[in-house]
Amino acid sequence: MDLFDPMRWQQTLANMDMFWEGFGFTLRVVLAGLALALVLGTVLGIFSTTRSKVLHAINRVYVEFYQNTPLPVQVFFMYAAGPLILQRVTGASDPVRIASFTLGTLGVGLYHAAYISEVIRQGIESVPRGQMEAALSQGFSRAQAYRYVILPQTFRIILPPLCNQALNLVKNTSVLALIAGGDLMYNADNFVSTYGYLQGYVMCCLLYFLICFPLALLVQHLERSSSRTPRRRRRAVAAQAGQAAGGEA
Amino acid sequence: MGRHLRGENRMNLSRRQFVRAAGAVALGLAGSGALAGCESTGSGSTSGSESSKLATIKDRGTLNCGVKKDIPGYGYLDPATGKYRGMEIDLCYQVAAKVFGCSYEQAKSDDLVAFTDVTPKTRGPLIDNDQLDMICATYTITDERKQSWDFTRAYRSDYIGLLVKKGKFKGLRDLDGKYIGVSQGSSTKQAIQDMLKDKGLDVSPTFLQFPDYSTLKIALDSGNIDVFSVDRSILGGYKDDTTELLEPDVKFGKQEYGIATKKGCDFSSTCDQVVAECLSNGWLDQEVKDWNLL
Amino acid sequence: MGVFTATNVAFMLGGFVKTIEISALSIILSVALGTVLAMVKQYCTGRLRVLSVIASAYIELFRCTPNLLWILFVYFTVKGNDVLISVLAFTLFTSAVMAEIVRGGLNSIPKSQFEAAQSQGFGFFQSMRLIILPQTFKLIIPALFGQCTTVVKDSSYLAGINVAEFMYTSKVIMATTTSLDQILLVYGFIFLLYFALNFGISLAVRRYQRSLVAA
Repeated sequence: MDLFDPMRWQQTLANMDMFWEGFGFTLRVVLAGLALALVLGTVLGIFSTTRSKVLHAINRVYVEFYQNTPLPVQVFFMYAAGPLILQRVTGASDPVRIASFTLGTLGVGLYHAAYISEVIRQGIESVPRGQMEAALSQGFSRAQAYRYVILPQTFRIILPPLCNQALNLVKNTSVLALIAGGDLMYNADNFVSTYGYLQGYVMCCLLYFLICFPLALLVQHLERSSSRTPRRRRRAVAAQAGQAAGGEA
Repeated sequence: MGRHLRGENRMNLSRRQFVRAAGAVALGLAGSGALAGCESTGSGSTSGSESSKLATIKDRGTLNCGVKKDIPGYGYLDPATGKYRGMEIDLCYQVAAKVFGCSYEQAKSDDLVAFTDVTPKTRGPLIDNDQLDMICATYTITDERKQSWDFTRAYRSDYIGLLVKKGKFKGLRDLDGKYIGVSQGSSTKQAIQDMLKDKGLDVSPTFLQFPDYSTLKIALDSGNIDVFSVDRSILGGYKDDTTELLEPDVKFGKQEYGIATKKGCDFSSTCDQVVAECLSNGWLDQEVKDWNLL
Repeated sequence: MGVFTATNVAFMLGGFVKTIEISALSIILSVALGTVLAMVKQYCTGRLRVLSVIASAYIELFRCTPNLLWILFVYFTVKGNDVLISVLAFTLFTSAVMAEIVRGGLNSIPKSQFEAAQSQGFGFFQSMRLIILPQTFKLIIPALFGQCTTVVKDSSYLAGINVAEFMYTSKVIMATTTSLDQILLVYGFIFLLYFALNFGISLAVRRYQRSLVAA
């Protein structure tokens, strides 16, 4: 069968630098995108827990928009219209080309920021109000209460779904393949298009697995350890984890 | 998650129960597979004996052709009518007329051809597993491809074109460091590189590959690529007032289109005959005029 | 506006219909397959353990690789019409996610339910069919429908293999325009339709959740 043909494997391995190049590019987009998503997501998440109606609205609009429209469409929009918009805004003579690294980072970063803000929001809200009241009654200031009582608990709750988002983010960087972005999927697809060897896809699968499997194990480990919480909390966590696992891709 | 709960919910399947369940599932899958098989166009019907593809086609009563759906003038799926139109479409009807022994007009009116759209990536494999009888889809004849499939003589010669935005380029020399967009799985990149080497031009553009021509056109419009390069026939459908061909007098990358069929089958010679006739009696020349091919 | 002619709009909407068609079929099949996977992974113990391992491996494989890879892979290897290929690729991938959702639901069912069923003399499949699974599905409806919107959104990847779904048909129309304004209009249309579909689904889910709370 072609899949086990040694000649094809040899050809594939001979072209490995193409794959590694894509791998490196993907990794860089993941890191940058994740950083953007975390920062923006946290800010937005906090918006929705404040008392300001305006900030609530901003959060809602952002989250609903980015969660209900497809990532490929968003990225393609930035790809096709972005340079033209920039040209109009800056008055340049030509469309301003946007590097695919930037597009990738912005694409997955903005998209996942919406999901992360939901995770943060749920995390903050799931800490019972009594905690804050108890802390305040013990003489903590509001800021101290957050730092020593609320946020540590939040952190433990949000860690599993956050890692799940990171996992999805890695997979979503493959959107760059649709716009010749130079990531792993693009390079693998080029290889397969040129040679017609399925081995290219297998290699691509292995390389993605390399990044994602440790993350997936991490998610499972975190979910298990967070479930070693008091009985009362278990069901809430289970429900949340179920939602997190399914709530996004 | 909830590992600790699993022990509490232990309900073991006995082996017998599992076999029963698996059997039911397998039956269901087979059923849906059969249903799906019935749905897919022109699929699965393996000809069995390679020795007479012609007979198989005649028995079937329909000729399965692979064509392009996005090349105006060659193979184009008209969104308004839902029908395929173009020179290659008409050529398919000519082949059908020959196979089924009727006239060209009758082949058209009796709908003797079933069209499937193909892309450069998929066209080869589709003939190999008998999904399609022939490919008439701006398929360039190359020595490499001849090793895997049979080709008729060329029914059209075409050259590669470099579509750029008006006024941006003065000559081929300006290509240095620019982005050239090509279609995935096409032979364009090699052709351009050969041309540049032949002309002794020391330019090194960057090549980007895209899945379809719409994306390429959009990429050109948005400035993401500087050049949209593919066979001129295809460019004809995308050229507009804002774009022009770069140095059109430099005719390079001669592409000869042929009908591709499964290697070594009897159908191949029939196709070749049809092409020969159409070339000699001027039918193809008329088609080129009728469809305004570049 | 020149670009929104009747033909063009009809063409794009045809793509939208295909998007819905592919998404719906994929979801139904992946829920079915996902449930089977979840049950195999969860309940195949003892001598059938190897099946549980296979199910786990399947789930891990598809959770750790991108959807697009499988779309391209299936497109390359399987020959059939575009709906068949798309649904197959999506089902392979989504069933892994569905399996985890179902498993999460199964684990939230109180142990007493299983015991009660067994004590009443129900066999394994009967208790699953009549008692456990109905409750499970009620529990996981929010996550399930969340995945629905994901499938609808991911269907836009199919444009990469030239399936005439909504994003592809819209791209074709967009390729005929050159001005920024027209491009923005077409995009507005695309975003609007996807948003309407997905937002509608999430609204339905939220209403369902509220009705549960009220009850």
